[in-house]
Amino acid sequence: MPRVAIWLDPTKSIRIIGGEAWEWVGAVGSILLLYLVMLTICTIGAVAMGWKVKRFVAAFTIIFFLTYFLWWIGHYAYIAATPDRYKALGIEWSLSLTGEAGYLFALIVGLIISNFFRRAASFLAEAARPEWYVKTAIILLGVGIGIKTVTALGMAIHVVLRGFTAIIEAYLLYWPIVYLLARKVFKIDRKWSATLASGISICGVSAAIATAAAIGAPAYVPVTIASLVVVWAVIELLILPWIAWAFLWTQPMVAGAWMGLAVKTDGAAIASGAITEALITARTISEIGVEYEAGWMLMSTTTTKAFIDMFIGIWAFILTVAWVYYIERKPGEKVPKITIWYRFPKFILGFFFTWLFIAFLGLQAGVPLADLRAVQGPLDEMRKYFFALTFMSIGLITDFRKFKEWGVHKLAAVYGIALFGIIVWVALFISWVFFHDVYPPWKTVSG
Amino acid sequence: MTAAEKKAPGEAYEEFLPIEKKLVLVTLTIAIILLAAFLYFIYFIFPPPPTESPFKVAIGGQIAVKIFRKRS
Repeated sequence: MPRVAIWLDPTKSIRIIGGEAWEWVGAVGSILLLYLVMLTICTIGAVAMGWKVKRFVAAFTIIFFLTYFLWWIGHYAYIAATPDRYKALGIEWSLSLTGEAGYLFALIVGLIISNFFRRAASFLAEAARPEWYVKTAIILLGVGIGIKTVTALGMAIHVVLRGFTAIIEAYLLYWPIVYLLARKVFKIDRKWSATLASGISICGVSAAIATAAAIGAPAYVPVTIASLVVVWAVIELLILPWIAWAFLWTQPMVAGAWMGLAVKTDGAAIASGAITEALITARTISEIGVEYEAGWMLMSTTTTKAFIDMFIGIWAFILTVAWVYYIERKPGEKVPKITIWYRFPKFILGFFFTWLFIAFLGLQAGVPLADLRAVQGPLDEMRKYFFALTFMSIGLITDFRKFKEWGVHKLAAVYGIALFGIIVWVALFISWVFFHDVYPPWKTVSG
Repeated sequence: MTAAEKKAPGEAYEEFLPIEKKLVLVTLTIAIILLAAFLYFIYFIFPPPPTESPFKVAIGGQIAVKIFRKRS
């Protein structure tokens, strides 16, 4: 399995993961292998769905290689490297967009094709299936969360406990407030509002897709909101760590947790946590001559972020029940229980099963963590490529003329207002309440 | 679905139902109850780890140095 590292020298940009036994394949060979594995999996699905297989294979091939190229470009050091990596890479500046810039490039190129090369977009549409790719990615996400569950038991239980309770609290405040704002103030209809509230409250793209499936919203709703999530997450990544550096440097764990609670999308949140840790550590050394042990601020970020992902399934279930039994039911109508099953997004079960299975292997069956991580590496890479395909597909099926017709600028404004008017401040409040005066281990250095 | 069938955010605005109000209020109430419960738990049952604030130590040290310098 190829892994794209943040690179300056293109010849050293691809690393082979999955053990030394695969080194002989080489960079190009590993990309071709990845292509064949993903093509096989997706073609089986396409046959099962009754799509035009030849056209699907041709379109998938173009989408895959174009997306991979953009994913690779997105890892160029001057685009992707965060400040904590400058020294190791020998650079002095970067756009600091993280490797997830590749997602953004895929989205932008997809949008260009969709809006300026309509015949090409029409040909590629057979394999431009964002929901399909993202659902597969969410199931694979269960592996990483399972391993986090295993490792968390042996780690600083206090941070984990605070992260867990903080995220329950934050989510239960985010969702109703944003939903109320969208419905009552901006007069947005239910399905847009619920999907928006979930997308902005949990883990962006995945949550928007799961919620839309649960409440029966049409596909263009989560796709539109997912695009907004990505764009706003990059804006957060570029702003919030510096605010934390300026105003929260005396409360390092609050700063770290704030990144996990406020920044949407996993990658952008973790990157924000890493930048925050680098900035605050440097400031604390220079101002009071104290150096924090590395990794603790980032841990508060990753813990909150990991737990918020778990809400996807729970909330999808609650919304399914609420929509089927209360909101969409006509007076006097009896709704059979099986409707919940029909409506419930099944891929969430795949996500939970993967998560619990990995946790079981690590905690009960005694499988060594190193073995679990060996499995996680390739699957995690595949998850990222499925995400990248999702973003390319979102771009390919997004026609700006329709956006204008739909008034998406209004939604973008609501998202921005909800994010910077509510979410960021509720997240700060929760982070402060749960993490203030909790300090990472530290030592004095000559300051 | 054709483009004509797609609805913009707000285009098909429906009345805010009592059940939606209930969903919002119940969620917020649970949030407030849980906040109290969690705070009680993490501060009284399972209090923060006893890590000394580096700022108290550092600021204390700086004050001590200033006093020492003044006296000397």
